[in-house]
Amino acid sequence: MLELGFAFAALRLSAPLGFAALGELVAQRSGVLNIGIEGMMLTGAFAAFAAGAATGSAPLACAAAVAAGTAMAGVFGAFAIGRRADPIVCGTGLNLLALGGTGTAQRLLYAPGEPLPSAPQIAWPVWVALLALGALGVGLFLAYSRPGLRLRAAGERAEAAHAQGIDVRRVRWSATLFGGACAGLGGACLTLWISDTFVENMTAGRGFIALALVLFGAFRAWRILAGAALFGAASALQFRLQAAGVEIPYNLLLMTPYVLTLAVLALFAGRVRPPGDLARPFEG
Amino acid sequence: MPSIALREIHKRFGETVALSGASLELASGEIHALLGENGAGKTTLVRTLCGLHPPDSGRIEIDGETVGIPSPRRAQALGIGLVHQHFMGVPALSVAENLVLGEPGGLALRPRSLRARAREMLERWELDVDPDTPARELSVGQLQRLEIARVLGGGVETLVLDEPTAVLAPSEVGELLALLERLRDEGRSLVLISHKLEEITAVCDRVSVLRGGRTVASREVAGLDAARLGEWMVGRALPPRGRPAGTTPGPLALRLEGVKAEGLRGIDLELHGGEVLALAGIDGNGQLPLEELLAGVRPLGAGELNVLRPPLALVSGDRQRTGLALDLSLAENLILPAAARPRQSGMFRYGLLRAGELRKAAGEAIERHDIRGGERALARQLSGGNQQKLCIARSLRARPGVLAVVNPTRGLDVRAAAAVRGELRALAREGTAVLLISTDLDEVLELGDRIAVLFRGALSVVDPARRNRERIGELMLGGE
Amino acid sequence: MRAWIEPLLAIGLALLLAGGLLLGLGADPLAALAALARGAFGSAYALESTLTRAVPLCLVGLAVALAFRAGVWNIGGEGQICVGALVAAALGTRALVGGPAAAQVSLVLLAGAAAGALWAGIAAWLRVSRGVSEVLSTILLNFIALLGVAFAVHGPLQEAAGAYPQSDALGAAARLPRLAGLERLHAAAPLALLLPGLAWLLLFRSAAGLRLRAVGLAPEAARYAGVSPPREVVRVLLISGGIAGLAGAVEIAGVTARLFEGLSGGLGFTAIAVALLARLHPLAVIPAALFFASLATGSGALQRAAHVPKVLVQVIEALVIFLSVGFALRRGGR
Repeated sequence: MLELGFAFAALRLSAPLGFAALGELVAQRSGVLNIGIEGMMLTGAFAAFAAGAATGSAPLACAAAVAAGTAMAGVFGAFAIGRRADPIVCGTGLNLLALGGTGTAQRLLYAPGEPLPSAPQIAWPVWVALLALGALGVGLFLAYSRPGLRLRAAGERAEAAHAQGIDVRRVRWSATLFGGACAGLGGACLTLWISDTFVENMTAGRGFIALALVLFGAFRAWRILAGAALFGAASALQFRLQAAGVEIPYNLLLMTPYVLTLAVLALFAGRVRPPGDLARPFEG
Repeated sequence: MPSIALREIHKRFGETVALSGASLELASGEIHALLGENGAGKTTLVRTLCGLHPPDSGRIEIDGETVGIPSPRRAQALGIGLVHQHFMGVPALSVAENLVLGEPGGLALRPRSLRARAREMLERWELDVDPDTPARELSVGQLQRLEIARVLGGGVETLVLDEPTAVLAPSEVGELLALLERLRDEGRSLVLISHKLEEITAVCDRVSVLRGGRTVASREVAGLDAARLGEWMVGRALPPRGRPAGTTPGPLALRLEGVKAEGLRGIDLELHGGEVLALAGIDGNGQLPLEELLAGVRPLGAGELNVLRPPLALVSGDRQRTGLALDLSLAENLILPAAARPRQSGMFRYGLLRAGELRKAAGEAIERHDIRGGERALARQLSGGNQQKLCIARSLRARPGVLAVVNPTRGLDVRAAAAVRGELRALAREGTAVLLISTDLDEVLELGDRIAVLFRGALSVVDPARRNRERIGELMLGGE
Repeated sequence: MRAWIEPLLAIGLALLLAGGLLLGLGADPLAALAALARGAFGSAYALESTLTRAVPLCLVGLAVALAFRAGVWNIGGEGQICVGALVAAALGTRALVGGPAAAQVSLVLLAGAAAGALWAGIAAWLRVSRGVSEVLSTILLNFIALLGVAFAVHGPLQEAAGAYPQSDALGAAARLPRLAGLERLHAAAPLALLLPGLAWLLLFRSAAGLRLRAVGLAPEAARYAGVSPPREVVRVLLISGGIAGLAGAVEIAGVTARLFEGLSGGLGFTAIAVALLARLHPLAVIPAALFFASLATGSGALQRAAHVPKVLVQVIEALVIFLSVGFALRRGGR
């Protein structure tokens, strides 16, 4: 029973990472390094919570999260693609914007001191199905579709793609928006499944872990999903150790995913070949 | 009647005027040569035709009707295709994927049918490679063939080739020209950008000459001679190319013995003070590895590299990337190597810049090398020729015993190139040992006291008694 | 002149946008701005608070600017502050007993700087020898450092009384004295003027600075000129982390006297806005830090007077970042 519970906890903790990392994968394969994924997740989580609490409808809450993530990706794209600004600066700005924006909105919408309402929940099979379909879809799209081929070309060598009639900016815009939608969905996982409420900065760096997962998975959808599962298991282990009464201070346990991510990066980052034109704004 | 005409095309990039009234009339079923100096606007003009640089003003007519070509996609729809000088596909993608990248079509991309189609196209254009090979594993000649196959795959009737032979070995050139004739005989029209008279007279029907962004002549090729074309191109009679008077070499300055590194299979050479040793060769035969080795950014694998008259200075072959930091000022670029070794340079005291010394050094360099630009101007704002002069001025600051230069006149106009060559010759006269690595055969013949040829990472020395184009061409192909 | 106008425009536009937002929320933007200004500059005490707040912003903003100049994306200011503060607090409350005050304070500050440098050094090592982008590693190190502080104040460094998750107060000798005649501004405040000056000298008048800028602008050209980019990356990360760590120690020794969770309070991220608004110019960091400090101290008054949540300030910071890069790009990019 405990084993099943552990597997379930691992699944739950890996899903948000999986969604966000799949979206980031598509963005990065198109040449867009989206550091703002953390902010998009956070906005998604809040939008899902607020819409769910207001309407009581889980599908609507989910749609709100996707819309919010996409909108944030739009802001990112307007600067990083539209104005060819540095993606790292834009992403950092976006994360601040999300943190301040959700914090402000939360205080305005819900009177301080009073208990927060709770958001409706979506059952786990739905999430699992969505995630599996998403990974399958992204994998097939990238490897065996014409738009997928164009997207990879835009990320590997934008100049060449442009010369062959591919609208690089449009491809990158679409990929960025898709990445935002996925991140929004990942955020929705947090408020519609893992918990039913919103806490300030509740993504707690999951977006950055998702970024690392893309590298860890060597830019392949299935490997990324496997990586997410591994991270979910590590996080679940942390709670299980606690439940088993192992005397490790709570805060040190919380460090595990970040330390693990760093270790994984140290082991794998040097071996992976990222898309040739990743994070290089296209001038055409 | 002409099938395609570009009339009175004007185009500027920021401050630079690239085209000011250029024209080109292309009849169907002909090979039309486009001739001109570097910077005359040839590439810009054909890029206009291909939708890559929509013109600021002017007209494009197809069969007498004015059309707009705002994008490569539109050019493609009109049956116009461009073969770039360098491979414009995606090296990370497979050959088959590169072939279908630009074509419109449905959503799905089935691996089997993709491979079959690719195989058919490759066969048709005589390219014997596996469709699943990543393009980055192909040779330069194969990549060009792939590029041509890809462009023609889209149903192209008008094919533009931008200096296609510049990157090829002489035997590959022959094959390419044969292919171009075949394409013409099948009814296509071709525009061939070329610097080489032999190619123009061998396969072209008509020629247009560009000078300073304008078309100055457009004629049948038959009956034209080199002197005439040269005059149109540079606007005056070509100065005769001279070979330097024999020099007496000084003491040994640089010795490479069995030097191996990634991309170098074993180089032996000796270079003396006061002489120019010119290394010819087709790009990709070890020039870059040798340059990086001399710059100290590629580790020496085996063998010995001795600089007997130090220091060794290098003028890199890519001034925009490895030569200069374009966003630093002229003066800052000048002292960047000094900043890497501040103690020996005399330019810094306690690590802090001596402003007086800097001003003096910059003033001297500007004056001596006739650099047009102030010491505070960003390197980016200088013209190509002035950037190159700055690179040379910088490498000379350390008073090198050995100076290595890579393609020192690439991309420069005739006058700037002559100035740079004159400077190199003068340096050798004053006793510096000059190692010239150049893919420009004329430059090698003009400057080299001795000549050797780089082929697949190894050197073969040219016997002075057989110093001629044919012999060097043979060695460039790996002949004995 | 344009170098000055564009950042001012960015600020103006950001405030305008924030005002629009307030209007949409039903608040009076002018009253809010007035409250903000009063909170930041309205009294001698407010002014002093703003200046005190500007000190760490200026230091960390400088740290970020130096790193960005070298093309090194140090997003880890937050973590480096935390580690600096943590070590300063550990030293000041546990290890140091006796000795002259000047020596104790100096030791606390130096230890904080060293800790910040080491923390950033991890990211430097990961980048240079393991090929890990410093963007990700510094961000992850932020989380680890924040949790490290949490662990310390719940565990080994918790106050003897055990009532709150905070450390004991630093011994009087380990604390920074106030500047003469002032209530809040401490003796390390002049560092916020001195270090930018030194940084300017380093960047624009020294061999090291030229190398650093060359690596940031054209790494390949720098390599060919004999500069080793990895060495410069390590060096600038150590300097940058050291300054951020120093800022953390200064906060402990000069302002809070105790370590607690949330001590850094997003300073490391605001510092990025400071650096960008200053166009990565070390001297311009000073006014930029003052601007963001006034936002921070004024936001409390804003919340009381106009019922606008304090976190709105983060939105303004984000807007300034976006507008700064927006303007920088129109000039042709960096």
